[in-house]
Amino acid sequence: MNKIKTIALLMVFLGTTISCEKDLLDQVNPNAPTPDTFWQTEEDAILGINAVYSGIQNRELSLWEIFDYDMRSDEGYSQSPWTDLANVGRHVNINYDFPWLLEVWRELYRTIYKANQVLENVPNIEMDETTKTRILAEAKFLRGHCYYKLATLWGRVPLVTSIEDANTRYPQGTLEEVWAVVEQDFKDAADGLPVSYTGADVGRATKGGAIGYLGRALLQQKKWAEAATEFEKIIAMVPDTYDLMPEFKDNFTEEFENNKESLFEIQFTNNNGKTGGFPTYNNASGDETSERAQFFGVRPLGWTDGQPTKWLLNQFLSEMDKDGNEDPRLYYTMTYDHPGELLYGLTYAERGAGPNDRFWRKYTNYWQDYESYFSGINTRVIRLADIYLMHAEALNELGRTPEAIPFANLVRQRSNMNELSLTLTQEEFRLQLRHDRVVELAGESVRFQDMVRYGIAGPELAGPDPGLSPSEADFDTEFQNFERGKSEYLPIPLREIDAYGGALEQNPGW
Amino acid sequence: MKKHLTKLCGRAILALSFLCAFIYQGNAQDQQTVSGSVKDANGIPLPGASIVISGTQIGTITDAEGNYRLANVPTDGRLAISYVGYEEKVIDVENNSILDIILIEDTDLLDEIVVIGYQTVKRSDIVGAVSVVDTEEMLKAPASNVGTMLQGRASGVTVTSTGSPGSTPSVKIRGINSFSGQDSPLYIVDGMFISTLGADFNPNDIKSIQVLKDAAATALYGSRGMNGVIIVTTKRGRSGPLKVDYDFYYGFQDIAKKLPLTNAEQFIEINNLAYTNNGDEPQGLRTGVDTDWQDELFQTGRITEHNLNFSGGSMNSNYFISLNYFDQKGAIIGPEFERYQIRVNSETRKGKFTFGENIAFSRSNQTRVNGNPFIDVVWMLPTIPVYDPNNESGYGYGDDNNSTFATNPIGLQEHYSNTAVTSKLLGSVYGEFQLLPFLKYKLNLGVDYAQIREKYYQRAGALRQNTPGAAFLDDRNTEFFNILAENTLTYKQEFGKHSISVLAGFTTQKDNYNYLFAHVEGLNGEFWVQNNGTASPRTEGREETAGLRSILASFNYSYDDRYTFLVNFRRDGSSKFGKDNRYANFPSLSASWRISEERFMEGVKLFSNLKIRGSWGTVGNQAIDNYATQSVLNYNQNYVLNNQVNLGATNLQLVNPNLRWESKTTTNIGLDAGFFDDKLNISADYYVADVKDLLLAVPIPLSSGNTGGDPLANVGQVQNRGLELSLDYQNNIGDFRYGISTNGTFLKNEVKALVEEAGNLPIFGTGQILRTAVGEPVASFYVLETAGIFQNQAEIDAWGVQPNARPGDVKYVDNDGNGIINFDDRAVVGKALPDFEYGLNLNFSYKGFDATAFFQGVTGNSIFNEQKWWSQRYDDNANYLVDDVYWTGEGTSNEIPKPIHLDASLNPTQNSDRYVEKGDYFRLKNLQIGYAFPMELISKVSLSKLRLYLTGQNLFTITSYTGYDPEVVGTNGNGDFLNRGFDNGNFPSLRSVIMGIQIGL
Repeated sequence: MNKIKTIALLMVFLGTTISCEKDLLDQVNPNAPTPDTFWQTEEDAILGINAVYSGIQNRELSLWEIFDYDMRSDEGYSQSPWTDLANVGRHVNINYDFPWLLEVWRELYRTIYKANQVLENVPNIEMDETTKTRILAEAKFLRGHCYYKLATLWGRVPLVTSIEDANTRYPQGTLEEVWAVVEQDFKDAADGLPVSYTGADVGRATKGGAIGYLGRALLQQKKWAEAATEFEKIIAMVPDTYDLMPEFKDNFTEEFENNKESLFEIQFTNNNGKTGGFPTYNNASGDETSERAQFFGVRPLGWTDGQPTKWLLNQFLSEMDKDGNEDPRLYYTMTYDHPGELLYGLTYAERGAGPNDRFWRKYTNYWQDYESYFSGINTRVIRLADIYLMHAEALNELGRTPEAIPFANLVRQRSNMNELSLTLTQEEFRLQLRHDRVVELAGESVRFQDMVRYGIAGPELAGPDPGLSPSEADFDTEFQNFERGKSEYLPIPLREIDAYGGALEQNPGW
Repeated sequence: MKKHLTKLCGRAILALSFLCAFIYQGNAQDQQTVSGSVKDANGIPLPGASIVISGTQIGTITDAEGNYRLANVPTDGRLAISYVGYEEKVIDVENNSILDIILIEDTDLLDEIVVIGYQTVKRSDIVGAVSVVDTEEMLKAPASNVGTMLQGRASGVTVTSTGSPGSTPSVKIRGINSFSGQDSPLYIVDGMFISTLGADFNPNDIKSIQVLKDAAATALYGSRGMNGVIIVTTKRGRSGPLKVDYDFYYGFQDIAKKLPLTNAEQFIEINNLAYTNNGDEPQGLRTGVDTDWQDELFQTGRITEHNLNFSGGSMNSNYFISLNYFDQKGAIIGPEFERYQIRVNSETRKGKFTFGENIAFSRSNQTRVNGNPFIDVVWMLPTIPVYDPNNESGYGYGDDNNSTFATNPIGLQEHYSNTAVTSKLLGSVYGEFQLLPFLKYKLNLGVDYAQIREKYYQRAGALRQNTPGAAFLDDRNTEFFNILAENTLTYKQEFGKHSISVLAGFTTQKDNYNYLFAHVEGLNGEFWVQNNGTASPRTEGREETAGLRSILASFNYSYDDRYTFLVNFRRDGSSKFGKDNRYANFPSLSASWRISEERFMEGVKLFSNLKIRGSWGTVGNQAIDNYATQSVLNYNQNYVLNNQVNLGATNLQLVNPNLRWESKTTTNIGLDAGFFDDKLNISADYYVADVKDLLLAVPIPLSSGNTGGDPLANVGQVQNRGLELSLDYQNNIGDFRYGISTNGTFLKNEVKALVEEAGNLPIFGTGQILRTAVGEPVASFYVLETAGIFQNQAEIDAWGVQPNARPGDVKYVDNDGNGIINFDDRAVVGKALPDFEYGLNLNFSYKGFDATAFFQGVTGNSIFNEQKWWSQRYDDNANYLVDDVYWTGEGTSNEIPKPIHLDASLNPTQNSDRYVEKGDYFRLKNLQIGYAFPMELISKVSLSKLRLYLTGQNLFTITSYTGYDPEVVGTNGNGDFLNRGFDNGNFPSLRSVIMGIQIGL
């Protein structure tokens, strides 16, 4: 019987041994640090601010937003067989959660959350004060960038400027309140940002970028005088800090990135020299590339999901340069079927493109004979030529037309265009400036906001024959669906309206 | 600790071997040797029947001929003769030296011993709501997994399965109880807790299945009992000489239904019209190609299984060894499943000590379905060839003149590869020690180890328009290692008419999980290994550990077999929750009254059994991921500066640190009645189950900046009410035996609260179509309502709310009456869960012949048919149905609109009731006819059993659903509330014809 007792004792011992592991219930995640243990050092602060930049670079924002701005303007349209996509430019959004709308909204707010993390945590870090000030100002700049886009795409959006409990429904702002955040963020950013960077920091937000962006935000609200004040600050930095590049085309290639004309760029690189294939998005090193060239590139090398309108071509063809040749900016902006035109080295016919096919050349790698998902071309968000033209507009609207015209001429001179007479009337110059902005900035996501600001966006832009395609008509016939008071803004995603449960008002008309 | 364990186990086994050598010695008395035979009522010998001297553990068993010989039997003693499945007999020896015994078969189900909550009880003593599955009938319907076999076999259990080889079906008990996605029952296989019982488990090993449904039955499983518990016990050897059983079957399987899709000629006509209707030139479709994508994809699958068992035992030990091979080739090109399993179950007793183990090792190879082929066959155009040598991949797909964004479904299976190899060890080792005649200690050690090796690769080249593909390879190695240690003490004693049993236990479980993932591109040739990659290598890995520590107690008091009271209690502590919410208590109370045992019922002949039961209790669900209360930093949030990649880090996903357990309180009343000497048994249960603190991934606004899944919060409340009925009748007229057993489940499900702070916003599932809202059943279809097709402009003008519509457009109902049609006009038009589910089993046998027919069905649910959405949207190219009469002019159709390609209005594309169909069905799930050769014949070739059978599965289905199969799980295969009833290419159930043979030695 002793053996049985021994077994019994053994069993009890065994049973309790395996049942009594200490700390069994205190399992700490072995996979990653928590926010409580992060945000301790200067290095953490830098990692944190870099993450905010990664937000504005994310393809779901940096790529899709181009469609939301440029296809909706009279510069562009889409022949995509994906009806929802083509519909964006037609001002017909049936699925409010269409990814290229919803994801832009989502990524803007994700970036804002990242910026808010920096703004709430970095002040408590013991670190070099200069760097700390800069990082906080960078976070403000990037948040301002996001709210500028929210203000122009959706208008009345939730105001998130702090981090609250996960279940918080942040209040919807009025348009004025949203603009106020934009202005304040850029003002704070301008105060804390350096004029320029060296070495490994080149590409971060600068004081000039913040001032220029603030001016753009003020101009969009038609606060002409305040806008002009900001633009003047930039102009005072010419030529030491800023100047026009000698050639227009140098603003849209991988060469001459972060150049003297540029106030802020979204940075990309194809440091792996990859071509073809799909990128893998959560790759730590491989996919900091821009897919813009692939999505807009010529069929069948690219998807041609968006194309320039015939109206845009007409704008270029309406004014010859000093030598009677076509505006040199046309070639670097878009293609059209005419003798000598080559699409990545082949003729229109060889590429199988039709006579009414026009393709974006700006921001593509048109000098190659192929296109791919891996383009390193930075997206220029603001450049000096834009500042000059915006300043000219502000001055003109203030009735200071003679002072305004020389700024437009600075831009025209570079492209060998005739100088404008200083005797133009306010209205004459206003119309001329609208044209000048189109030919200089087409495809740079400013036109739609310009149209809204000018008050010209309306169904009449569709022209006399709205049945034609924008590739055939002299007008962007897609504007036939444009409803004043509605189509200026996109519908807020249904997903968001649902999540707010009545506390978020849809944009008018949607 | 692991080292400890091995060492201790080693010692325990050593000690056990010593014990076995220990010899008992009897006392000298008046003794004699008794011999004789044990037979059944028909005179057939019963080998392995046990003969024990009453009051001792001395005894023997009968040999292969049913004879026994037992020495040293006291002349005034008594012998107890028993045999599994027969009524025990006790007889006085009275100086007889030869005793021939006849045992009577025990057909009374109420005497069956069943396993519930750490104990075994007689079926008549069950107090809670427990379904005992007739596993013998269940196993007649061959399938790769237990879940599929369970369908329709137990009331309160909802099973939805697909025809995809090796897939695990969705099993829900008493409705959808949780929003967490973890709403499947807990399985307990021979004492080990596991969360799913998939195709890597051999169902033929199953001896019994009990489904525990109410809180009285599940409270002892505490924090994991909320979704119900399925207790599976595997077979054991019975005492007697070696018994060998071999079962084999082979069968063919196919997809019963083919959608009537247009051929190339018909397609071109409609497609050209759709282009013309939009004012465009037809796209110039290819001629000379006419692909029937269904014919190309579908094939005759096959299913085969070999099952070989060795079993036997002596007085004090028994063993059961099974070898299993299962192989299934899919009914579409591509998917396959193969399983090898070996199981060893044995138990040895010596005196007060019992030691045993149940261990199964399996290895399975699965080739999975790639993509969504059942959508692609509809989305693909008949003018596209299956193979196209002009494309890099060699497969045909959409182009500018035959535009479609469908993926070549055959290419998906052939050009891409998706396989998984699973090695699994599941089992338990236990020891029992009878400390005192009424007190027993048990140690149970369980292990569930799985290693899953997944490999996915794509060869280079596109299978879809505008979607180029480079070759890549993904390897993933996942390991689960879950161990359990349970210490329990059981006290059981009777005092006259009072019977008391008490159980106390202390248990610990530790779950480990890890995975390693590797990706590489630039592979050359057909060498699918990481080393062959030349570009973009990437790795991932993760480790997780979870702990659960519990105490449990159960007190059962019974008086005179008439009144029974049961109190259960469990306290669980889980590492998944924050310190403040770590522990929770789960109590239950229940009672039963066996009215039929009352003296006043003696004269009532109607009832052979009558019992009422009542229970109340609370159980929980710890359905959150490990570390879900801890937020983390995410790296790889990188950015380019100066053309160099700079690292970034930030928090992406928001969490709620204060999560608690989900809990469910159930009140259950039940009635069991037996008639005609228990030939007819009926059972009914009614329950109300209130679930609160539901863990819900609350859809927080996108403006919160959250990335990834929405954070969980304890917010929801759901009520499930149900009535479950079962009826079983077995009888015979001479040699003709017949039986009918049926069960039905009525379920009413209502959401009581969601996120109250945020106005109880509904939760939307797949495509914003499935909605879960307060006051509605979980997972309701919420879409626009239609009212036919506009026949002419006058109708459009009269309708008013669609001023831009054209004749031939779909007419939508302006439910909110605001004069426009938008998302606010959506309405609930159906729900994903049925009101009523039922199963009906009929069985007959006459001499060697037997037949079984099993019917199963559901009513009251709806399905969103995505195939129909593709074939009837017209704005985007997809194939059409021949039967569809689309609108071509006034009066031509009031159901299907005018086909307009690239219709910018997206009029027919809207998610509407046009695509929501009734999901009711009634089907012959299984039909089997068998013949067992008579003993006299087969004993000549030394066989004890030879049976042949023919089985048909899903031979017919009655339904109005127009998709492939009304048995739809949902988009993710799990059948959770966000995806349920959404048919986006659900793999249909298979129609099978199977021939089998069963041989016993």
